[in-house]
Amino acid sequence: MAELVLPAPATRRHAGRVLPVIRQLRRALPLSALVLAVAIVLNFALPRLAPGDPIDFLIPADQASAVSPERRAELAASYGLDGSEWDQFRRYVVGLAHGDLGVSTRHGRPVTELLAERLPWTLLLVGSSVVLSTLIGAALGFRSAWRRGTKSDVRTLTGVMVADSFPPFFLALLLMLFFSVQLKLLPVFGALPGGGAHGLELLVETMRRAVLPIASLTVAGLGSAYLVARSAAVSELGEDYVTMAAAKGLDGAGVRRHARRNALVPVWTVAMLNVGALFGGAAPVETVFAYPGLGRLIYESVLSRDYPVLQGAFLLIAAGVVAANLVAEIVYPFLDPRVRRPGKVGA
Amino acid sequence: MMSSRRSSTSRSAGRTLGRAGMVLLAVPALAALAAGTVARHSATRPSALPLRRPSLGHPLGTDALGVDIFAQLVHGARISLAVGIGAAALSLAVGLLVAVLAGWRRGWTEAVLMRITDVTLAFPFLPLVLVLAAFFGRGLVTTAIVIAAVSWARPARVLWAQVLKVREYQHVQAARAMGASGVRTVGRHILPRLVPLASAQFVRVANAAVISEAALAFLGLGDPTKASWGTMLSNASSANALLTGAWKWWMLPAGFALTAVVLGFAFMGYAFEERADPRLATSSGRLRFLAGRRRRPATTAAPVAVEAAGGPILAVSDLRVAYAAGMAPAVDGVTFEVERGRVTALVGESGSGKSTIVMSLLGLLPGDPVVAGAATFEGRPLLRASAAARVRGRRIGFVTQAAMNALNPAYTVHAQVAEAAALTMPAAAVRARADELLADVGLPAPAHHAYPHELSGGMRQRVVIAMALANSPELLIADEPTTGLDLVTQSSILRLLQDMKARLGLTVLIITHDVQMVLRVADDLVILQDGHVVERGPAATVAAAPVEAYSRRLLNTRLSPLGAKS
Amino acid sequence: MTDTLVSRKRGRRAGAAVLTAALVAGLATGAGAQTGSEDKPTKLTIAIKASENNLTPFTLTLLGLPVSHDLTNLVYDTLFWSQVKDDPEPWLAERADPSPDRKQWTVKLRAGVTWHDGQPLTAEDVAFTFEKMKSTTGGRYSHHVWEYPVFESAEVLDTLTVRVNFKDAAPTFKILPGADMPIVPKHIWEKIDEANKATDILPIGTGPYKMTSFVPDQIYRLEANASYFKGKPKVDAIDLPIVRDQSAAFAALQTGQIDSVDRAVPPELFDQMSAMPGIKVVQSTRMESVHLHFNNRKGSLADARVRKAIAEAIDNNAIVQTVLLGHGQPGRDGWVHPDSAWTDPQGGHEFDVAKANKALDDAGYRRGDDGIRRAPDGAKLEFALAVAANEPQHTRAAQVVSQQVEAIGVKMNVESIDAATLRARRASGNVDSFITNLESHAHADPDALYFFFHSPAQGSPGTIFGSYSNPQFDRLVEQARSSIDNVERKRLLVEAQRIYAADAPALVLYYPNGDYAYRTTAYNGWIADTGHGILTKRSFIPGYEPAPGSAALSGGGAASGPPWAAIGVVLGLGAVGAGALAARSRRREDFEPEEA
Repeated sequence: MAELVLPAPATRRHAGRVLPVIRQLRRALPLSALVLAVAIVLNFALPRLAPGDPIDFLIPADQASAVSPERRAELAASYGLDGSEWDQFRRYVVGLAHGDLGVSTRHGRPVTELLAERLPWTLLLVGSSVVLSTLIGAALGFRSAWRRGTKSDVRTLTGVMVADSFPPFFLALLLMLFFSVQLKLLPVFGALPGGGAHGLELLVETMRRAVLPIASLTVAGLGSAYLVARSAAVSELGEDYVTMAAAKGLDGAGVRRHARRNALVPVWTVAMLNVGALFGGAAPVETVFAYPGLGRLIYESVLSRDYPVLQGAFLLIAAGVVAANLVAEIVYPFLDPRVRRPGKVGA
Repeated sequence: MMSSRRSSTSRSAGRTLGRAGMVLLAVPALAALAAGTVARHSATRPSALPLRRPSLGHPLGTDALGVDIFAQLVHGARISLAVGIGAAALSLAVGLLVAVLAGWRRGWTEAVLMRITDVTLAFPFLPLVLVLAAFFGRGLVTTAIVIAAVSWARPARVLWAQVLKVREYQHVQAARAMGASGVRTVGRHILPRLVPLASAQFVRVANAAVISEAALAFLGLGDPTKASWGTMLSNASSANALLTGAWKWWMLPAGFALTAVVLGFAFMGYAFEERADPRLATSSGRLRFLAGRRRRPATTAAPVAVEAAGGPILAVSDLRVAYAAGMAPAVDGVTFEVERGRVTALVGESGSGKSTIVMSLLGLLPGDPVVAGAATFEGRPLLRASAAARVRGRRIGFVTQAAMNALNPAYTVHAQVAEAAALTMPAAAVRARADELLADVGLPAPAHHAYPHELSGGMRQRVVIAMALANSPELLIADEPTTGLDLVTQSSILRLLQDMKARLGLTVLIITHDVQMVLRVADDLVILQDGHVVERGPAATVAAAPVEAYSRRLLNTRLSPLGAKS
Repeated sequence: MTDTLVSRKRGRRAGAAVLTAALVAGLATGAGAQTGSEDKPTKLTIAIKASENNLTPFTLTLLGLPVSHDLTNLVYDTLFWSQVKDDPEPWLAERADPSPDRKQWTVKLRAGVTWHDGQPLTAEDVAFTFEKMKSTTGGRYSHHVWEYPVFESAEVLDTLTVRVNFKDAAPTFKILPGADMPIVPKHIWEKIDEANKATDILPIGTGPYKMTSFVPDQIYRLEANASYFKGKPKVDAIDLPIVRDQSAAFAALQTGQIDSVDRAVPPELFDQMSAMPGIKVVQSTRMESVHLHFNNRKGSLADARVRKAIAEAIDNNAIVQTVLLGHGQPGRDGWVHPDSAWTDPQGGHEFDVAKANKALDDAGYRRGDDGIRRAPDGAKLEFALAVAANEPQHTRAAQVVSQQVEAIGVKMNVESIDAATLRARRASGNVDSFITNLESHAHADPDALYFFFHSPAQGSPGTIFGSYSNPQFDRLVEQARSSIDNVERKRLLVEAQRIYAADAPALVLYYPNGDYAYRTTAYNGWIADTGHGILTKRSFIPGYEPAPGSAALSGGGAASGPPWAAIGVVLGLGAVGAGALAARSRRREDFEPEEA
């Protein structure tokens, strides 16, 4: 759904000599830092509040009684999960500072490696679907705005809301049923083809496996992009410069371009918010398609209390969301000259 | 099917959608209430062999335990609605509390609460729900609480902004000044004004909650013993319904029911949002000039063939304009001429229809107005479709009302003037032409590449005039060219108009309510009242001896200290 | 963004167009890129359910249990094979001879066995494996050297002979650890400190397959070990893609993208899979069990009469019919799997509601007004029945149980919690009852009864299997454990099972069948190996042909294939371009791209 809460517009007060980008960063960084700090603490605390213990998952249930407390402690120590909670937290933060996220209890592999394996797939899904949903949503939203009040507008509005109301995983199931099971057009699982595919074939095979998850997520992000584009463009159309653009003789396309240019700002913001939403929202879709993404990794790690992976994956997602917000802030000056060049000429 | 009956303007898509939303929600709500009577079988106990296909007794077959799927579907409505509404109520309550506390108390309370809100907003929603749901057990109440715990921030942020706005209203200020208690003021004056936004947020959270509950259940984090729609999908999926064909009666009904409820909330949400944000609803209908394909810019200047050289440049006769079919006409039988080389003024109070006349002549009226009568420009009919578009900006320059706001904030003024000039000019010459135009209207060179917000109101007014003149039109129409400017700037703008008229041999049509200004520049006056011309003639004549009572009153009350143009 | 309005009129939608085009091209060309099979059935693609790191005995993640063990043993070998027989077949060992007290075993290795890197297998490797397992914490295999039997030392007698010394008698050495623990090469692992974190190396074993590459969490690629000591494997290469979702795996099998699935065919798919042309379903026994455990220390459940009454009120057969649609065996009160060498031949399940009701009446558990019985002390016979949320079958079984026990005035509330929480609550004893499952390992091992049901140590919080305690049972399993003679051992174990059946500390609800499906066009040499299913090394090694007339069920059963094509049309999902793509699609027989 539409995200109508946009960050407050940048203040125009302090003009200064600084580059607009720096100014924006200065504005946005404190919150980003705060979010990251909270994320680090939450990442650490949340998994540990839950009942259960990652060490359980290193020992098959039928052998649990065979493991002495000493062996357990030894195991915990080998994953840095020994000592008091405070000690663990200190080690976690120190490790973070060195870029070390610890070792997954379930996989016995460095968390950074695991994340590096999953991240590209999630980026492929989330990146493509953010781009596609923003492009399609904005195009439809603008089109609706130009035709506001007409049947065509209401039809599009209704249509997009209907599409957007399909829970992503349900849509994913339907897509898989139709394209993979019924038509047998697309593979039903995984991200990479088996066998020795190379070069173009590998690319094509990878795309074929990504197409349905991307489609599901694209539809999931479509509504917000559409609604924001529509309402932003409608409100721009109420501005005098639009009438003036027509009055000075511009054709329809020319006038539309004027309105669109200004309506882009909120659309951009929503696209960046969608990055965050889709990062998390990808998990059920990844589940349906057995896609090796981050959401799926989190879900599985939650089930096996893999603290180090949970910490790392959460931090990564939080960092991704923070980065998306920062990018949004940095780009504002380029979208809105009032942010880029506050102040007056020759005043 | 969703659109209104009238093909033209459906003022509010929201109302239609809102009604559709209510229907979509009413069906499952009724099902939830009457679940016991609608479904003959138990929704938790087996009533037949497992995995039966649909039959008369079991219209949707049975699940892996032999429980009637239709009964689960009907009972599932309860769960989806309960979780949606419960989570929404909870998160709205928290959001409202935070918003009112922060917005009312201000100070450090606000600083702390809004920082927390911002941080919560920046967190990825679903992973958090995943973790919380897995850790704090399952069950509907837990699910609702978990969803509320991560979704209160958005309502808080939106409502907070509204509280800040409302607390500045005069009666609220007055209530506070009279010593009304905080709680009382909030309850009396603030909360009622939050209702539209709060309802929109409520529905929005409910929408998200229903999807989240289903997603959690689907991932196996719901309560599998309670047949929610998400659980049904999860159960069907784990029983390989996709492969056995049972998806037709097991997954589709549950999935579509889920979609319908989400859609119902979405429609209602849109309706509420439209009500809270009237700009979405009361927009004045469509803009014809937005349609149309891209036209190639002409490489040569428009022909300046003057046909009826002797006649008036603009002749309007019996013009009648209504904003929409069935509405009372805003302009009712207006006739006047604009003589070549003269300054004509359309004078009237606001609401007299003067702007409507011009906008209709130029084809800029929004919506589907009904325009009748006749108008010619240079002897050619102007009211025909696309006739106005052909002369707009090229042969008729138009300075719109509130022209200082008529510049696009995203582009430099130079770019905007150049864009107009490019319509009739080869690309190579456009830049120089824009500089020339801006210089002509008196904009200092350093300001040429400024953005509109960097210029003063008077400078922006000049830029708009430069844009209107970019293609050397024969007729310049200026709608309230001086309104909103200070006296000194007003004079300089008027001087500019006169100057341009003299230099370029323009004909000028000024629309104004400002008699003072008009008498300084106008050669002819057309006085309008309620969509009718009450008097017209040479300015000096009309000003000296107004015939009609209305004209007299208009001229007297606004008699300029500078006197009429002699 | 520039501010030029004049120029730059076109080419805005290029970005979107390129993306869309790429996606569409991907769909289209991909669908057409496959070629028909070349009748070269030497490469198989088998979907497995979980990533197991790099398949070494130290780094298994235990997520793919019980198949993990068989996957590892495609690459590695054990001294004997396999553990589900009480006298396993000599494998890397030619023979193993015990000392009279069974504390020492002298193992004579087969000559001429080489590692995948060409090095010869020696007694040093075997001795090293025992020592390395002893010093490594965690994992699937190490507990059999540091818990039972407790390994003390290994002496290399000559290149092919090694003597292994245990602290106590190890009468079942050939099974555990003999047929369980894979032997690893000393020359590789002696350089590795933290063996359980060595996840980035390709495993070197002696097994029939060597791993050529793996993409973590996505696929393993195995290639036949041409110089395998039991002969060159019959399949040249095996790809093992990881497909977590069960439906996806069987859909892939159905559409021909893969040749087999490591998971048993779910009951609801059995008829459909059996009837499918080109697909065969074989029945085997996995020797797994799903059981209901009571907390033997909590409230009324500490009373064996209550537990036994509940057990008698449970209709195992009905559960098999409902939950497994008949594809399994009802559980036995003596716990041990009927196909295990150690099972009580007269074991069975007693289902008798009347008897159970009478027993409870006699014991003073009277029904209240709500129909639920009260203990003499007034406590209601109402218990929570916990199941792991990720086991839908367990949830279903629990729901059936809960409804069945109502007949005797006992209320069991099904509570689905996540697996980790359940595990934690089991460990702390904070459960009334729960359902869980065990793999063949637990039924083949004669010491299993000892491990799971011997009284917990003094003062311990109990075991995660319910803290049963009966001194008579304890004595029997202790004796069986150190018994050198198999006949005597069996006698003791049967006696223990009878006590167990009377006390009902836990109740096996059912033993699922292992029905495995494969595409006959790809490979036909599969063996239904009891306790292993079909994805096990004996399916690929020459000399282990499938028994003629084995339980294989070929196509042609009562087909009730749903009308697939008819329904797809309904889904008007705005599938843009589906028509165009459909035209280019065709049924693909081979998952693999054509080999160059």
